Amino acid sequence: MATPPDFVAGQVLTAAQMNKVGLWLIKTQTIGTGVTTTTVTDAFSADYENYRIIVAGGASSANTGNNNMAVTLGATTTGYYQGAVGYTYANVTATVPVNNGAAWLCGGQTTSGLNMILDLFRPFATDETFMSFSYSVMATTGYGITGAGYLNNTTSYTAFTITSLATTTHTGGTVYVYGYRD
Amino acid sequence: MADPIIVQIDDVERPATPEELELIQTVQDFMASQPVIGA
Repeated sequence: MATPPDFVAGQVLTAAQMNKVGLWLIKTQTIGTGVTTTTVTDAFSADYENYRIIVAGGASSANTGNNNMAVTLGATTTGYYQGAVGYTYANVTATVPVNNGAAWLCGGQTTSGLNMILDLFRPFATDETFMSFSYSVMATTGYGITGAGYLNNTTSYTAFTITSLATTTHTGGTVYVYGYRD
Repeated sequence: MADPIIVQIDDVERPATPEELELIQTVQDFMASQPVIGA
């Protein structure tokens, strides 16, 4: 028998094999038209401790500010921390610190597209949530950045929200939520 | 009159409630307070 993931047609997969699937797609959410926020509910549960969230495609209505977007958990708008460093494409240091802020600033948004890779650790547990992320600002004057941080409370969360910069909205693109097998 | 702020909850898009507007304002004000990279 072929060794997963090299499956063959008609192969019967055992529970032991399926239980080795490391990353499971929990849900996808298409972003609508001209929305300021996108909330994904029932993303986190007791099924998984840790998650990967990806945003790809779509676009922001305008380029402005740092061309980034925010992520919040539940209705919490305090206690977010992150350290992040990168470079502009012209090789100038770029930092995006959050020190007891209202959100994590962990995604990129321009008229060319939205993008975010965000790993969340234990958002459903009654424990602090650790995060790690990277994004690119898709504009010639943009930057690439990576960072990590945490949310300083022990609240259990099931949902998260992506918020656009003021005066901008998001249209299109997809939010993917994956669970890491425990 | 300004266009309403639209929120999306899963597949449902609708104007934000006053409570949601308050949260959005808090987050967007925080974002706007950040130094602009390269400026």
